[in-house]
Amino acid sequence: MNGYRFVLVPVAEIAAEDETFRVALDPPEASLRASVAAHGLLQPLRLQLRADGRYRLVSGFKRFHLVHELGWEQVPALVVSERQNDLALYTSSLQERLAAPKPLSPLEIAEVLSKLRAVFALSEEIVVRDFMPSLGLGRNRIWLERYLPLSGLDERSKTELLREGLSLDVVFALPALAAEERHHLLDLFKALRLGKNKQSEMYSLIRDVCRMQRRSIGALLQQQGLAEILADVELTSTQKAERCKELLMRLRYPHFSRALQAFHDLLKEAGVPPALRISPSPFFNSEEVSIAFSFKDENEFRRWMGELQRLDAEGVIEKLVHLP
Amino acid sequence: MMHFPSQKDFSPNRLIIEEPVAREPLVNRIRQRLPQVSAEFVKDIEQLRGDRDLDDALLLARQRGPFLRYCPGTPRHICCLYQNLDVAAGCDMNCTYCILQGYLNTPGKTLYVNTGDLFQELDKVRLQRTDQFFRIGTGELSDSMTFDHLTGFSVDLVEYFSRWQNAIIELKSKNVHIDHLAALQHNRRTVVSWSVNAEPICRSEESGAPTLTDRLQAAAKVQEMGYWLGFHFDPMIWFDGWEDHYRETVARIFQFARPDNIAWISLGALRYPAAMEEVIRERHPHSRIVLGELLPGPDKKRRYFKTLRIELFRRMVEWIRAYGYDNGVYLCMESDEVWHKAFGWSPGSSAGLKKLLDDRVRVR
Repeated sequence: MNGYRFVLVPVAEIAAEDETFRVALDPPEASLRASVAAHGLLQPLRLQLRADGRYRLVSGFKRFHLVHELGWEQVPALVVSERQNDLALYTSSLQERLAAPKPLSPLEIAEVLSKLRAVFALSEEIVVRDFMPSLGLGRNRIWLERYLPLSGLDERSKTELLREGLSLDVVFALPALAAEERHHLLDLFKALRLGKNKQSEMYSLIRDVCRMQRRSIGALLQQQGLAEILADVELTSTQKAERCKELLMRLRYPHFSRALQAFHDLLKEAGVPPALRISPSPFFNSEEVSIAFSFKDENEFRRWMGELQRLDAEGVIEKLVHLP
Repeated sequence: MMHFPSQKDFSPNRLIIEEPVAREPLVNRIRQRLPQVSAEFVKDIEQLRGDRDLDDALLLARQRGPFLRYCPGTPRHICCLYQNLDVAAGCDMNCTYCILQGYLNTPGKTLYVNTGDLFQELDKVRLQRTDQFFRIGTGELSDSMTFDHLTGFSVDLVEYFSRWQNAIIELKSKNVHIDHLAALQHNRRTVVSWSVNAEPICRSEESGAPTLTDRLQAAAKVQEMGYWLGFHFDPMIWFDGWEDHYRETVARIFQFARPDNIAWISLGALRYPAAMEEVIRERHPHSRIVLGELLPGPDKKRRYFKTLRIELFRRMVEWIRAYGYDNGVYLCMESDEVWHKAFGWSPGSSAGLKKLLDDRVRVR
């Protein structure tokens, strides 16, 4: 193998703190842990000898972590030439990670970009042109502006960014928040088990209501109503999420919410059966009200028509049309 | 020379000229007024896309499409059937709500300088459609007068329209470049109008524009020159204390302008395409206008919830009517229902509104 030596290296001689070439940031997967425990290392580490006589990891950070945990004294490794260029080694390490089935997390992308700029001193232009596409991003500086601040987040937030399922809208909003605010938000999403779309939706509501009320996320979540929903042990996470959203909608869009509530209250007071679906135009944009019902025979049809005539005679239809 | 302390005189740091229009008379005029800026030449301003250094650039280009086009309007809404004369795109005042920031494909501030084509196009329309009345304005994709200190182009327009009985040109602005209007024979075929707002909104959302006081003082001067005046409360913004502040602006208008000389006062509530919300949040993170109760309308634009719009308009109409001014107040892009609820009547259709506004400035 050109430029490589295959050797057994004492674990103690590996400088684990040197993370120059590290790409994957998540902890070792359970399957890898089981494989190393059962079969040892099937793929050697890649190392490079440093000027101080210790080795630095080029790839295999997770494997090294496990080997260290298992108390191995020596580890098989491919040692690359000391003359190998750092950027070339990092790029190869990056390519190895990109070939894995699991996509890079937003934090990993941020760290890659940050290293390319800060450690390897590449210009914005080169990073955008030569690296963005392989990271699955468009060749646009905007991505640098969005991802780079993630690498400056606190450790707790960074840990959250490693898990899958966070909406990118939310991820990109995090650096602008104070650490405590970030933690409130991330804890809330975790507790409510929200999917990405619902996270985006709820984040928009929380962000706007906080600005409207000039209060922090922490204070908002302590607010009467929200705090009660979140503390209610009888509710499932889905129910909590729905109720939180309803409450936030009322705070964000008070006039619209009141109008909608008045519409539904009117239907309820008039005793309209749920199977007779009466709805206002979307956001009350027009005065039109729509009515939908289904029937299986003429008797059922007449029953619904009778119900509508009753509503008309009682003045309910007129009131509905003129709401709000 | 009239002096307005908050007057804005845009001074470009780059002057980029499309080669095909380099010899246009308007280009020469602009270059003479900008001797300190060396010109850069490009084949097509499209090649500047992606250039991040265009904020303070002035681009001189050829209008490739027609100059004159109807205001796009909104389905099921009453539109005044205004026609826009696209002589420029982009503006230097950077208002937070400006539709141009999310709307324009052309980078930078662009002036379309092939004015020979423009007047030829207008001549054709004028000669072919002698039975029609035209209300035409240049303030849709730009501010009508904000570049006048560099172009003087409003002079050309005022003089052209002074000879056209069946049309009126509206110069709609927030800026106060009015000196050049003083000596013109306009024949009252020009409406000089100002976009106005509640004072706190002028300060927070229009901070790059002249103050309300300067705008109104400029209006008073233009009135002395014999021009029609127009005022546009657009966008009206719902905020704590809006009633007092909008009432105050109405009162101030009537301190400066005679009701019989006001061609029209338009009212329009804040609205924007959905995608513009993020643009506003990014470009103007301190602006609170996106926190309004704005919901998707039938045209997918975000608009204030209907009851809020009705309330804004209803109160404004009430305050304006108290000064004896009525017929020239109109709503921009609203439904028949909103008209009825705010005004107590409706023009019924776009054609009805057009006739109402045309009649206010038609030569009798």
